[in-house]
Amino acid sequence: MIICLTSTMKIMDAGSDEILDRYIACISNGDKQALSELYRNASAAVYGYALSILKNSHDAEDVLHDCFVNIYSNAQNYKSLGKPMAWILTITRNLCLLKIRDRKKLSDIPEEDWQSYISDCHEMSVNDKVILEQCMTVLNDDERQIVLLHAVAGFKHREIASHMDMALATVLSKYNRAIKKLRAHLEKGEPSND
Amino acid sequence: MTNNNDLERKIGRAFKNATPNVLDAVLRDCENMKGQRIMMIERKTNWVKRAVAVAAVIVLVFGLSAGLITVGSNNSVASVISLDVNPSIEIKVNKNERVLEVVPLNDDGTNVIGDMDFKGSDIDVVINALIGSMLREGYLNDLANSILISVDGDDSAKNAELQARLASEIDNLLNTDHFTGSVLSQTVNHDTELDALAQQYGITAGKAQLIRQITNQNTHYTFEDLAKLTINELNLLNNGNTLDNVTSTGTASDKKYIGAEAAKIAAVKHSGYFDSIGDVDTMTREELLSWIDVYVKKLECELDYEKGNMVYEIEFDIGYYDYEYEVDAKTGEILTHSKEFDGENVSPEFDGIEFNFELEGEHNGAIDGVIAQSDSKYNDEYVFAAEFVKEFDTFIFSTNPQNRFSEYIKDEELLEYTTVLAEGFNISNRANPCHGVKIAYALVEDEDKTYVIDEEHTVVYVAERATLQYEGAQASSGYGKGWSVIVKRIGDGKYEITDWYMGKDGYDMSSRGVNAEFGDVQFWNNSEKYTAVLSGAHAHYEYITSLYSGTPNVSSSDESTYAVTREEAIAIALEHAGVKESEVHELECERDVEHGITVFEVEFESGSYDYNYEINVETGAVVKHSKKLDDDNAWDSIENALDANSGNQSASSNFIGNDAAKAAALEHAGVSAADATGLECELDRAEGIFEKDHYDVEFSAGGYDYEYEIHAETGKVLKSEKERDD
Repeated sequence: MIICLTSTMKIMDAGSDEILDRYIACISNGDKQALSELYRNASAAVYGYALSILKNSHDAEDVLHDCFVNIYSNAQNYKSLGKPMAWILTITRNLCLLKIRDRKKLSDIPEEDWQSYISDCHEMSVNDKVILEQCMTVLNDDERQIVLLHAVAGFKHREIASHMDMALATVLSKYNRAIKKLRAHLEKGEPSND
Repeated sequence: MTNNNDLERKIGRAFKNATPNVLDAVLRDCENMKGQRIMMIERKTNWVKRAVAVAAVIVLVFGLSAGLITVGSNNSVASVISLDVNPSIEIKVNKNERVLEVVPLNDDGTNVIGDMDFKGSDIDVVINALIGSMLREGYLNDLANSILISVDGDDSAKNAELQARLASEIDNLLNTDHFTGSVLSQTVNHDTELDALAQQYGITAGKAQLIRQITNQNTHYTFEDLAKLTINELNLLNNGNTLDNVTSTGTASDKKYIGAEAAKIAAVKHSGYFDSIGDVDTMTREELLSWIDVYVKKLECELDYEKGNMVYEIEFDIGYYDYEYEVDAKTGEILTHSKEFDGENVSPEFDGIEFNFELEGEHNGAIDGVIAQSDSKYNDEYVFAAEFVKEFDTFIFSTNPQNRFSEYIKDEELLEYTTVLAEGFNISNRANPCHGVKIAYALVEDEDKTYVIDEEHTVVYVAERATLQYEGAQASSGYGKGWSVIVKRIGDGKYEITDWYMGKDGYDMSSRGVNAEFGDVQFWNNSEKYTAVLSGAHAHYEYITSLYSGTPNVSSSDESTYAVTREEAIAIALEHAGVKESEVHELECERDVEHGITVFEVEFESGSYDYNYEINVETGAVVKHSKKLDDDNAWDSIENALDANSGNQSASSNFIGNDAAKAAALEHAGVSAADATGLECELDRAEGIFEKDHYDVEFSAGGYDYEYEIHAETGKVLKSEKERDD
């Protein structure tokens, strides 16, 4: 195997983007270990982002699976522009859009019951559950996606603007509004159903 | 839950924990895809491989050096090639490009060479080995990636060829997937000064030549200062400027320093501009950069060398001000800063306007900052959106000075609104009329009356508070008071108004230049006070500028020195108004200074009108006069007329009358007529469309004062108050 694991080299002091780039490079050579590492690093962002678009945990789980299979089969086409997460989340979004199209065909648009879904997540703490539920119920679609991209995927506002094709000011405004809303609801400590 | 970071972390964790683990299924499915995939045959070489190659070369050098045959006739030096990073090394070669000698010029150079013996080796091999050693020893690294290569020799064509070839070779060695170097190369042209400088500072002639060029271009650098710097630092200082006959590739690394972004953040934070928007200390770097992106104009940042420090020199504009900062490049400490007033910055686009409104009534809350920019244009007006803390509603502000505060929009129905503009400020639209909203400019609650911008400019705070009140879809008042005026000193004791705006600071442009019903504006000049009237329904600040420009002229307060007495001034005003003194009430006469002229200000009411006159105390001329219909007077007249017509009867036969009104109030209060003292009742006719005809009933009983408003037709209690009678 070609030298890929160079993270110990001092000179690089790689940021996380570089590490992800390296994983993808290794995956393009069929490296399963690298795929596992990439999964460990990026699965929360993929799942969270899918969830924020689809609002359905089963569909989001499907997308999570398909996304990493896609990454594995397409890694050799990946051209590093230093933005591996943008690539991964673009795949995620495309898969979500396919999912939505399928749903429409089946006229089957499942409405998730967040209360019961979240209470099924046994391994989550109460705080996590509250936050997850607030994100899914309090925020509108744009807000939720923006918050996800920033807080979970680590996108900068500028990157969100370009990813979602919005003006930076709009992203900022929506982001601030979303955080205020979340904070207001969390401080109230009331579960919201609106 | 006090800052965004905290919340973001929690969101991140929640989603991480919610993510199901499907890795096994992914791996299984990927396994099944085997055979469908095309493996990449070869990956790009990364620098590690190069380093391995370099190491191999070094071994080769050692191997070779033992059995080298030196050709005697080629012992004369044809070229000297020097490498400068911080280590400085000179390589002397003969005409066949065989190395005769490698000389370290400083301790770092000695370190790099170590115990390698290059004698007789090919120049390319030696360069390769030396660069490899510099990388290994850490002289070339992420923090300092620049190298200077200088070729010195008698044959200029040969020099140029060597320079180009070696530079490209080094460039190749340094630029890999994970490392980017910057290579400067030049040929050396000796002169006595250059040699003396190189000698004096113990540096290569090449480095001396580079420094001399930089000091020639930037005269505030001294050779002595720069001689201490590494090539990377010099490269950074030069900042990509073209230097004569120096070829450069790549960019110098500034990673040793806090970076231009961090320096910009430090400077903009220090300016205090964002303090009014949010808590800068809890904002993330990205948030701050985003804010800077939106609000800060003409931002420039350059690395510079000042008094022994590498500094970032930062310039930017916000609002009316030009800022300049020097930030220590290593620590981020603010070394110097200045702020200068610049009226020319006033942008027609009003980007980054700050609002600060308090809203009462239905939309209780405060707008605590700016959330939008003028990113859309509507009917040739720039449109701003601002948001409430509560309900997240949106206001749209327009740059058109007459419609500045033009729209109120609920729930972002930005595309659907219909413009309804009354004169002044109107915050309604057809889709969403808002009732009973009062808007007060919170900024004007600031106690500071004046503050000095700079030697020439002073902000004079004008009035107490601006309150705009709206009821229904009608603007009941479009006029606010509470203006700041920027006064420029144009000479000893002379001032002119250069700009003005509502609120305390210059960014609250939402109301700037609109509907300036100023009333009296007072200026302070040392301890003296003088007054100017600024008025005009659609005054714009240029207009205001021309309105007042002069010397404050506070005449002696000894009225006996005036040519006109108070009595004469009153007579002049009455005669001008064409009313008799017997028909006048509320007559007042005060001495005042208007536009630098001492006047008697005569005010009186007559009929349904308020009169206001200014009479020059020296000439008796009418400087200014106004006659306004007074609503109160008008109603009084109508009421009087009605009363006169209906004798003792109530104003309308539908009204319940005084007795019934008293009884209603007493009943409500649970007080018997016998216990009530000072019982009064008066019919109060509605004066506006939002009032109702009612009786005002007042009385005292049991240590309390009662006040009631009783509906004139129904006898219903509209309002009741009970206060302890002290």
